[in-house]
Amino acid sequence: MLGGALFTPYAIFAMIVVPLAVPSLASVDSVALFVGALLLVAATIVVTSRVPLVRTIEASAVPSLLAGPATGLVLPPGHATTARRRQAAWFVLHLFVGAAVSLASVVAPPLSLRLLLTPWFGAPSVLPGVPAADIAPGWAVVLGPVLLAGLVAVTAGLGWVAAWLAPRLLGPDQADRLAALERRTAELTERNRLARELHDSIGHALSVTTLQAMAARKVLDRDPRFAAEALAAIEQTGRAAAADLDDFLGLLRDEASARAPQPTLADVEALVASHREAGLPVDLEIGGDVASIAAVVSREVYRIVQEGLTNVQRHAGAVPTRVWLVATPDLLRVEVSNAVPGAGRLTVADGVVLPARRARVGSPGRGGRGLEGIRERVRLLGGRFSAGAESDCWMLRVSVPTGGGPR
Amino acid sequence: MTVEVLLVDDEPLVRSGLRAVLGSEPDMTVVGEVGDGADVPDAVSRLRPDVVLMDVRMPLIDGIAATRTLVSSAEPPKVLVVTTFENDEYVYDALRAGASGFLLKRSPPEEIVQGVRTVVRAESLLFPASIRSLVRSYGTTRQDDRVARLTEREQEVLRLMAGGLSNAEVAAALYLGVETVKTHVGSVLAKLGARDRTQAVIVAYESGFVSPG
Repeated sequence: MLGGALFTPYAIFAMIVVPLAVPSLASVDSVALFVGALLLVAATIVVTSRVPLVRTIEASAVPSLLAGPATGLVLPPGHATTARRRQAAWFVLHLFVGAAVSLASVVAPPLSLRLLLTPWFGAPSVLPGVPAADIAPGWAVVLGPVLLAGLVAVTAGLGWVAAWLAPRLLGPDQADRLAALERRTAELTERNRLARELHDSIGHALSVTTLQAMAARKVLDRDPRFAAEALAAIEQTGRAAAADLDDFLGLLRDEASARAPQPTLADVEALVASHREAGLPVDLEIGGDVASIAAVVSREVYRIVQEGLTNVQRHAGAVPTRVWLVATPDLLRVEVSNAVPGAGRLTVADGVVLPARRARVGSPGRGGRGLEGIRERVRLLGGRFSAGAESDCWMLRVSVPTGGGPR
Repeated sequence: MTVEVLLVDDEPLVRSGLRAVLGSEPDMTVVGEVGDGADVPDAVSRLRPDVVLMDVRMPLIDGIAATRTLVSSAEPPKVLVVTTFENDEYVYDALRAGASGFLLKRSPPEEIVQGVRTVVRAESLLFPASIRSLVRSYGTTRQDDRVARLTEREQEVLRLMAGGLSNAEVAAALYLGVETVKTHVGSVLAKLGARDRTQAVIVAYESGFVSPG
């Protein structure tokens, strides 16, 4: 019925256009005119079915109209040409069948009633192509109810066919399904990897903490110096593990709320404040017009600063740290630097910095994951990145084009 | 007699923790520590420890490979795997490679010390329940007719060993003298080609003689 209703404007359109296009209606065969009008209607429907709004209407209407089999109907955004063709086909079919059913349901009930009354009033003359006299009164009485029952049966049958057809024409095709499946698999694999890494990292930190606490308790009286060192190790390991945990949860949240508003450089002061609260003495210096930087750059650079600060907390502990952000019209420069507690703790190799203590082969890249993330972000933004020890501090330098660069 | 221990772990904080825990026992001395499996053979031939506490995951040569090398040498020390996670496939691999047992890094100090003593004395199995669950998770069933070569009595002894009973407890259960049990255990190990109870029990599980389920 919705199809019929939607069909009406197209039919009216054809009724206006056809007389305009064919000046002398009388000279044209009426059947040819009818077919031509229908073709015009079909063409108009196909054209309009490409309008996204129409697709949306169909997509939201179909599941509510078709009970049962149409569940699980996931409409892809109609990106593929084949998907668009299938959707157009569905729209045309829906409107034509809808129009036919609508017409039939308007005509059939009074006609069948009239047929029932044949014995008293004579055969109706409205049956197309059948002269009134040809119908015997007895047959007409039977034909009336049959016509009505037929209408009900055909409508029900068409509904069933539509329900069967809808997922095939409107739903995701094989390629869509495959792509969705692959995306889901990749997500799960990534989550598993994260879970394993988290398990390793936190498990390792906890057993170190436990062992050191155990040792400190054992030697407390005999060797208070060792006990103090053990406590310091526990403190630092705990802090690093908490930062790790934060990081992991951040990654998981990133995945979950990819569509939620992401923090930008406008939030960097709050970020620095939260690190100060966590005990890291951070100085923040911002120069230039940071607010007018492209949103994508702003978001990614926020993440870079975030990872930089997390790295400081994890590897160096609560040491004096400086965040420096300067925007020129075409370049954004960022530096995160911190004092290095004790020399020789950091090894610089190939631009990848791994704190010597945590460079465990069993879990590759664990120490440098934050830096890897930064490197990847900078690469995407088409910028430059360096990290390493410089005299008595450790320096992370990033510069990216403010416009967004290749992406 | 003092038990001499060598610590092998790439994490200095684990080594210093274990050193403090074991070193404060009157009957134990930590004779040395190394940070990788690659340094184990040299350290062992130099220091001749009774027990090696071995980390599993290490940068160059891991604990499994190091254990395998060590066990094939002449008069090897006992190897105790030290692990963060109890249900770890690598731990099982290390046991199959010849380690006599394993310790959790989070175990209380008394348990760690007791574990080292147990392995040195070799009179009972370390953490029989954990070994059973490791076999259940990672063990593979293999055809092995060596168990069939055991006498009925020896089979009984093996079954009780798998349950974690010490020699004295086996003796009490079977109404035998402890010395007799020791003889049986010795011939079980010889017939199974196992260097200790742990290895014998793994054979018992994997051949299906004892069910880990």
